[in-house]
Amino acid sequence: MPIRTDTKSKMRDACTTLPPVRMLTLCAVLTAVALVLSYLESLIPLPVPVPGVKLGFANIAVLSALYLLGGRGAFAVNIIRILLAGLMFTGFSAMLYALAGGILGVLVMILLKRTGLFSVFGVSVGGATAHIAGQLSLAVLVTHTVSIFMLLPALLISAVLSGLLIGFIAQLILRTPGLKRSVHEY
Amino acid sequence: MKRDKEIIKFPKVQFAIFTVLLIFLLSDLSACGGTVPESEPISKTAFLLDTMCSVTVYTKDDARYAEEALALCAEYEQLLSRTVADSDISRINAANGRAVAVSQATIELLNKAVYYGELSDGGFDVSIGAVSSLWDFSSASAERSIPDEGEIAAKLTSVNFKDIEVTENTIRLTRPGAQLDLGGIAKGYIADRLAAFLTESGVKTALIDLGGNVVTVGEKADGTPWKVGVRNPFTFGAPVGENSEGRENAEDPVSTILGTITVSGTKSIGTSGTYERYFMQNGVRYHHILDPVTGFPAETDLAGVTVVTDLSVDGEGFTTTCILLGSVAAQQFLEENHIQAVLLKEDGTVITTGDIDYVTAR
Amino acid sequence: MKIKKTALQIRTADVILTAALFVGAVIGAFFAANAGVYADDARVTVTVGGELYGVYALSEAQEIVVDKTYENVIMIEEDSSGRMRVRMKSADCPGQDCVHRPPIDRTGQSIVCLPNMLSVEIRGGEGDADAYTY
Repeated sequence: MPIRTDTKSKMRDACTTLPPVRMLTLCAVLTAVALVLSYLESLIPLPVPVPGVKLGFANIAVLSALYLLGGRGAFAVNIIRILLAGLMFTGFSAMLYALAGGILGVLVMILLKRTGLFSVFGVSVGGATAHIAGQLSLAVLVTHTVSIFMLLPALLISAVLSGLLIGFIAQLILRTPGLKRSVHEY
Repeated sequence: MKRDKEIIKFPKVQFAIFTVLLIFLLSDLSACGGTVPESEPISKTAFLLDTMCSVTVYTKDDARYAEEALALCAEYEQLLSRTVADSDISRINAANGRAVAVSQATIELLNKAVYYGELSDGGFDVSIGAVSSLWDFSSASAERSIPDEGEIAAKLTSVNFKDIEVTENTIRLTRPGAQLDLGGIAKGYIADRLAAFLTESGVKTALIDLGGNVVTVGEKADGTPWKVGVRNPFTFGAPVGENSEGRENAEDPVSTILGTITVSGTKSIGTSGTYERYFMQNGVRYHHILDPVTGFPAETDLAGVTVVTDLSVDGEGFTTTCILLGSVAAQQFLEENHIQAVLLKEDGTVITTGDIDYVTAR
Repeated sequence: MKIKKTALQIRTADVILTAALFVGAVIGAFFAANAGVYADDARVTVTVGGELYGVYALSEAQEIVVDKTYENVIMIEEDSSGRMRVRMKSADCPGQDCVHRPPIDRTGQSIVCLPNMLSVEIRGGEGDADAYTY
């Protein structure tokens, strides 16, 4: 398979493609990690009065998947994680909202990464923001209450801050020497 | 495969700027507790003219004028109310056709009243006192009786504004049995007098509210225009009486305001409506705006009329007239005379006239 | 092999994006916090799944029970300073976000219980204008 270098990226990725089996395994591992992180997070109560504020630890795995496996990988990890979490511990209703946010979040992350302008920080912040926006939008649609958007500013701040945090942790992981980067094909 | 692990070095400068910005924003956020009002409005209120009256000023120095304005309002009540035993109006009503010497204020008001009688072709008639006495729309009484048609017919003979004789300082009711009822115009007149008093006293910004009859005085200190909300008579307040329909209609959650009118300077915004004072009986609604021809509540498709005028007394005249005219004739009348108004029909439709600055509520 | 200690990567675009979102959110928060007014005659609108369940007067202290997928108990009550407010007294939904939401008292604010598709909103009422004509 041809090696492609992303010419827009200032970061010099060494791009190699992973054999499909390795991709699959890595994807599964990351999904499992995301699931566990999601579960651990659900155990920690956040003393914030605003509903919907989360740290989004699972996104560490999603972000990693994005940079290691590409957009498809990130998408798969996130969606499967949400579905599994929904079946296992969060409940159907929460799963729906997480899906709304998750799909939008991953799409935005992929887009932002594609531009080559942003680092992991920016991608993470953008993804977190889109996630929140997606969840709020679904909530408004379901309950027909436009005033839910009033929570947007507070949630946005939380999204930005958590995005930075998750991005930071993801970067630490991605810098691990020996981690191979793959070619991103969409 | 050996890879170059060198990633672009951390742009310290950019990070520093970012941190500074963040700290700045965070401190800004914590500092802001809320908006500080530029000027605290000071309201003085009193129960006069059978309703809540308030005068609001916007600086501490003007507070005394607000008090004085209310005192002035009380004085006018003593002069013009027919429930006050020795008011000008009561004396005229008790004079049995003889001329009564009255104050200039009363003369002025009666001239206006007669003018509106002519303008409305008899629809607006202040000599309706004998008939309105037969009706009781006050919220106090529980027992409600509809006056006998014969009684009304008998009293109707005394109604004709043309037979009010106004001279330079006397007033005489030439029709036998005639009684004055200035309920439909007094508040407006008094509001104008209060506005004049405040302006002459040097008050730059004030707000007069006599039972929903609003007069804005001057300009607001920050230059923004006045906003006056028009209450939705269907959803606000409780109707009078025992057989009243509940207005808490779960199928129709509307705002308690119809919309907001924006004006600048000294303006009067007055409303007349068939939901202000009324009672229900046998499923029929009897409201307080009587038709001088029938002696019964006017039959109209209008639930409320709000008019913006320079003088409040004019506003009163117009609103009552419009109710009596009905939506079609009223709209025509208002447009022809370039009067800004908001008409609310019984079916809920809202019509605006003139170049009124009116915004419908959400 | 000596591994160079690499720095964390942060780019201009990141800073711009983050700052823009943050500033936007702060400004929005300012507006949101001050939006809406407290009005005695405001209405409390309860909707389930987008359909109107009931409209209640904010001025009347009462308890509203909504029993659909889950049971929510809404309280309209007077707080310590005499103002009326609305809060979710109890709910048997997972998550309990609605119960943890602080009480609301201004128009435009809402408490929602997403699992139950329930929304409690304070609407209407006055307070915006300088005066009201009637």
